[in-house]
Amino acid sequence: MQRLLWSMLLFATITYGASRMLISDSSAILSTVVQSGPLPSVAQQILAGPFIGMVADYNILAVFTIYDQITYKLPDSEKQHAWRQLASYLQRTSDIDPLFMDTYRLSSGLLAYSEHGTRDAVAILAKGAEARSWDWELPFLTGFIAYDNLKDSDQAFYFMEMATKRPGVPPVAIGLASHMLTQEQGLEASISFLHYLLTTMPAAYHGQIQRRLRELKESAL
Amino acid sequence: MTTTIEITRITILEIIRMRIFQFFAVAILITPIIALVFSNIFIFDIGKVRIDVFAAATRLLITSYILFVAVTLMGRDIGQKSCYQFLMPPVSRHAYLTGRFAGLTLCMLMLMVITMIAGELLIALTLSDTSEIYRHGITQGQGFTLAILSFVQHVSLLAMVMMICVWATGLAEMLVFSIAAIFLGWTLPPIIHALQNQEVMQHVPPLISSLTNSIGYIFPQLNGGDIAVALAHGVNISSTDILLHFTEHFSYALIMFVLALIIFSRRDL
Repeated sequence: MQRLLWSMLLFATITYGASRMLISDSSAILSTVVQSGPLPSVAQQILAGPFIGMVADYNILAVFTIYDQITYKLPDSEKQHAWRQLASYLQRTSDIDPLFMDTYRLSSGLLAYSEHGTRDAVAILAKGAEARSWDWELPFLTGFIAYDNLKDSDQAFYFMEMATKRPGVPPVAIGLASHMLTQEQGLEASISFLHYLLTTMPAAYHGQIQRRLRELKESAL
Repeated sequence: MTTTIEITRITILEIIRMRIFQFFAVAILITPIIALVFSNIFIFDIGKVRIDVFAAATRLLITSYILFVAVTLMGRDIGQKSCYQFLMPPVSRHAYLTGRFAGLTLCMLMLMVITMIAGELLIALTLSDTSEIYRHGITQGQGFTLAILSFVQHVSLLAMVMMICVWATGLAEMLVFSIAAIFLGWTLPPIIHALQNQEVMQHVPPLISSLTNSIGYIFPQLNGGDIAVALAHGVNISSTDILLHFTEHFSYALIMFVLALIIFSRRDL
């Protein structure tokens, strides 16, 4: 009887291990993050209760997963949908934890340079610029993206002005802001700002910014 | 008074000898390690993620202490009638219940001191190994603030659970009602907050809205998430807010505990 029990235990362990490994190899589970998208912000807040910070962290993990899928796994036909889902995860995170900097770093570093995400990125960054009322970096980024990608000078001026009034704003930022508002020097300012952005983002996320830099440098020649 | 102190002492001895209490104490000490491991998945706001994990894990453990230590102790005392061991002259029902509550609160205070030490260690480590850009405004001392504010909330939670325990008839009822009350305490504030939204207010009848608001007052404001989020972002909480927080929770705990004393002195045992 003992021998039978040990054999059953061994058999069950092997089948359990094999099925777990097969499941983790499948991309079906991961792609549910892309397909289903996040719950609405209010529902997330109600379900999270006092663990709201952790839910915001999980949303950011979902953003990493989606970005990984866009880069390595998804076919081109599904990429647009995945970018939309990535934007809505960032949107929800900015609703439930408006002070979380990761949301804005990913919005300005990834979403803003995606094909259809610039408007969403500006909207998310604008929310952050209001919430982090002591921080010059977010209105500055919002203004830059509005100017560089959306070509919306009014919006760009509004946020640049907001940035220059915040404490601790470095002279280079003020200089860049004024350069950017001068139409003739826009290209040069954009390039120098993108170089600055590269220093604040980890190497794994430089791809989109480098691409934009190349485009700008080629058009300058 | 001496009988109350004696029951408090017995309660403390009883609890600290429980393996589950020792497990909670060790688990709180381990939470900084869990926070360090979890934050490795992130590349930017590492300090914030660590505080999030630490605050969530310690809150869960201390709420579990209330549910599985306090409720099971009261379930045994009232459900299995073992409180008769204490309820003999000169020990009054009031002295017994006050002693039990004080003992449970002091043991919870021990867990909070451990939380404070673990939190300060985590912050010290974060300050030494993470660059300034990824730990916005986190400073030494925030572990202390987090533990104290969380303790005050848990005192009102414990008083609410004691009130439920003296009213319920057995352990199963005590657990079910306490879990339901804690769940409502966690989920009602965001619902009330959502109802105050201009767009939502247009669709919700005023009667429903005011009814939800009134129900919200029955439960303590367990807004630990807001505090933890603010501290994780290095936003200081104003001293007026801290004072109001203390007053709110001590008043709520007093209301619940006095109600518990009234119910317990009248109930059949």
